[in-house]
Amino acid sequence: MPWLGGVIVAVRNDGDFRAFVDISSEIDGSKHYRKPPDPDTGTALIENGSDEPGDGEKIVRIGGPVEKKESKATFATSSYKRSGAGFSAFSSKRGNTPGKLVEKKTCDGPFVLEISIYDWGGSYSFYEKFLRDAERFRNVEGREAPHVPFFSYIPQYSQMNAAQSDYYFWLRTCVRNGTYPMSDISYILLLIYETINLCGSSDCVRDSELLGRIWSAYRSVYPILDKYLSEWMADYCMTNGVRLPDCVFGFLPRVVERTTVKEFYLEEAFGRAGSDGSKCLSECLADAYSDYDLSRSRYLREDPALAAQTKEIFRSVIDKMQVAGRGLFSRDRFRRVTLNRDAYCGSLCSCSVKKRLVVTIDSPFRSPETRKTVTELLRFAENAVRKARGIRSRLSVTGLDPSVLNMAEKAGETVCRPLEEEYLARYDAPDGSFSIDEAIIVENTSWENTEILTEGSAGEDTVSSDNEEPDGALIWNGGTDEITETKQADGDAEDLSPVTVLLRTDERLLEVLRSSAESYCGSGNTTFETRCRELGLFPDSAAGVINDVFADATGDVILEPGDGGYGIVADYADDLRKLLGLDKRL
Amino acid sequence: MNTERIPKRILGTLFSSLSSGVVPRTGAPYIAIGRNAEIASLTRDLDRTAEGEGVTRFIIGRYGSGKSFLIQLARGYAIDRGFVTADCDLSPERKLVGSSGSGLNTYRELVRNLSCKSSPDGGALPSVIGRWYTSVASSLAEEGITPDSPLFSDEVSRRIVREARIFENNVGGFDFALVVSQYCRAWGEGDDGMMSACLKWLRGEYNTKTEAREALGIRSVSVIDDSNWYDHIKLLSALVRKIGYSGLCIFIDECVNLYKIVNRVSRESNYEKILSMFNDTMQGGAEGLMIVFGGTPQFLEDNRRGLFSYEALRSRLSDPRIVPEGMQSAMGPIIRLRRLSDSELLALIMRLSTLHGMYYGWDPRITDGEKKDFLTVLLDRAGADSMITPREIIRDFIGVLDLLYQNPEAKASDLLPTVGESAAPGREAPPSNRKITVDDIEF
Repeated sequence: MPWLGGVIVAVRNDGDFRAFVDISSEIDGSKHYRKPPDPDTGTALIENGSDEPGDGEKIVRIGGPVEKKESKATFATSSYKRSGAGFSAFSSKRGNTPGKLVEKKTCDGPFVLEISIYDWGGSYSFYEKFLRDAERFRNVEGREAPHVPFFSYIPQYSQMNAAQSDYYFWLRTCVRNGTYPMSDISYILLLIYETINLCGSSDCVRDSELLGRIWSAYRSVYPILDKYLSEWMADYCMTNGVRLPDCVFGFLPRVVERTTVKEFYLEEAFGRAGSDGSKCLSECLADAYSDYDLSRSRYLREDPALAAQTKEIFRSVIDKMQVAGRGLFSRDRFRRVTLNRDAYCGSLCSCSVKKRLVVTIDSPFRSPETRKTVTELLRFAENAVRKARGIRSRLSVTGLDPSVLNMAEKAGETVCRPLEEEYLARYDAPDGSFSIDEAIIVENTSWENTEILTEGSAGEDTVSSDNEEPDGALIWNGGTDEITETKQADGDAEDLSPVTVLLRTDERLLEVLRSSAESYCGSGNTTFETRCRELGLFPDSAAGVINDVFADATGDVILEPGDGGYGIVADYADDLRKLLGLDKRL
Repeated sequence: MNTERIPKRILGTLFSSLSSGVVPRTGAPYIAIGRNAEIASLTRDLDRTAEGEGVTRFIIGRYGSGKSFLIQLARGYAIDRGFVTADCDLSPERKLVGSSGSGLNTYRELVRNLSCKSSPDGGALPSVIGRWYTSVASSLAEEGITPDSPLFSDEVSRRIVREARIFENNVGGFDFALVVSQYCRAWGEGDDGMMSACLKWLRGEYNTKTEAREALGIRSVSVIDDSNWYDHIKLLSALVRKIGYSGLCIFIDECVNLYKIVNRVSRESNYEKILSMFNDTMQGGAEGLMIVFGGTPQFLEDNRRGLFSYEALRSRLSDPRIVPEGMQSAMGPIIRLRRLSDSELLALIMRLSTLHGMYYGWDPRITDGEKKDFLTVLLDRAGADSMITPREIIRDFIGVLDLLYQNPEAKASDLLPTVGESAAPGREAPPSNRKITVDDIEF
């Protein structure tokens, strides 16, 4: 129901007489209409919730006599019947001719050489009302309003009710201020249409920035914006002579992939200095001019680092080609092309805003060899990464120019190396001096570690300092090949010799040990296991306890399992014999 | 440190191992140079394990950086602290999960190397179970039922069966309890055949249930296989805790073999097993169980084939995001071993010199300056920064010491090449009159 955009009329409460007066000049653009106008009377209430006006209140009638239907367009152009965007209308079979030449610009870019802007060749009026509305409401400041769903294929002011209108103005204010509330696509498109149609009467640089910000903010939610704005933004910039806003640069590769004027965008990447421009250009080429999709590679999908390396190799080669003017950028690849296009194709666009463009381009990217080179180069880059990672399978690469191949090989060697070294560096020796003094300090302090690690085996009670002998412990006297039992230093101190400990634990253990020692010396023939069974001991368990006792006292076990069962450790047989007093018997 | 208290046999074993270029299984603490933070971290973990927690650690370092050595240090310390340990090296035939029993092979190797203080070189399974039997028998004796009593054997069996019921709550615990009880009963009855059969089952050496049933005489007994071996590791852990040990420590070295698995599905299955072990221990599902993996940086950090290729592990094991450059923490699940610094290497050969003198009872005729020269010669060789390892340095230095010991008239300065000579690899040494040259040493 259309209710905005007409003459604004109010019924004034002047005593008994209600007069219809044009109050357009009195209406503040920021006013909020509570309800849509009545379809029959065309009136709407403002300021309070009552249908009847109170004192001093106004009933506003908006839109004059209620307009039930919009009149049909009196002029149709071929561009509105085409599905594809950006193709020339006046080169079609209908034989439309461009209108009057408005402006002819010579560009200094490497690819876009000249832009001729023509008026639209015909006339149509069905969006003139939209343009008037847009101009009328351009300064309306929205107040916070709840979201109200709104959908239209070609959204216009006249299609919105009061609540939707309130919300739209609030949304527009937010967007202008740099915040981007979640909203319906129709609101977004309306804002875009409004910006495009107001281009002749506002700051184009500011508005191109606004378009760029809207695109950047909402493209992830509404990917369809990439399709529309990749064309409209180029048209806007070329028509109004403004540069592509910076905020588009962040997703330029996706734009280049979608647009029909790739060179316009590539020029931006090409012209930017530094790694950002270089990276962007290579990504644009990889996305828009390759038959091989890196994102489908199994290996690169699994490992983002590999994908980054592949892109880095590709970028490096593109850089080198750009600097050297070889490969993709060699002069023989450049081709001159003239593009005829209707501006803002598919957009709601007033006849006065709509233009026809003739763009002359000198492009190295339009030859079939370019696509092949980019494709092969990407495959080569991935092969280089696979090789560095030890992946055997390779993609087939044929027909790369030898000079490009050489560049790619060098780039592969440079890029692939550091990734592994990055984590291996964490395992390198720490930097430090190399001196005898420092080594002596390290060696001395390391004894502390040794002490910690061996204190369990010696037993805390028997560990002695360098100057003290352990009380009653079996010790190894280095170099003399014998184990000796130290004397009790203090008569009151606890006797912790293995013999004593075994006696205290279970005297049968000492008996089986003695029996084993005798067998070892040849003075007996009873095995350890046999003696255990005779004494009612479990051999493994008995050996365990005996070894525990000796390990605690000496740091080593005394029994070890062999083919014939447990036996005395040969190294300690003599010492054990002395300890048990078997020498005297022998 | 009282250096005189080093047992001779341990020193002998130590030098024998070092001369052969292998990591010593005993005596490693005596040549532990540096690694203070790493050792402190591992000992702390063992203390936590002894208190009933579960721990999983990854010791990561380049080839020759001392991973296996650190594992042996931890193993020796754990044994001394009353733990039961089990260690094994992974190989193409021994994985965590794999076809044709490669997972079970790992379990068998672990059980074969089961060690405790009284059996530090492996084969401790009978000893461990025997200790349980002894404790039960001792408690019976205290109650007046002596081994001479006719009731003794039946009562021991009854007690063991009753105590073994605690395992029945775990996966495979029912069969495990039955077999352990059977082993004790067989020992009481002197049935060596049955004891062997029980040990064979516990070592996972029965391939079929039928074979196991016939040997053990237990109906419906299952067997240990690729799918359940880790459950039996947890049962062993519970058993050793029950018996009175501090816990069970599992050391799995050469994990780079998992990284080398070509088949992606197979490799990821192994990583999934590591993940389940990690979760089990860190979430309290395996009390008193400490698992230590040793591997190379590629095994851990390779984003395509290493542990970090498995997102669940990468998110658990990767470093905290805020780690200043040059700093490392040994408190997390990863212990990264840097190469030993040159000063630490020099300290190492100083220590070796001391130990060699103790073992052979002589005063090595080599000054600190000559030791430094020796090290400089080795480190200045081409590619030494990436190729030479402590293993090679130790072996070469022991070779020099042995030569000096065997040739009383030889001087260290005669044996060592000058720095300039060795810095140019492949160059012939200048002719000299000395009998023994550096060429006599096997580098």
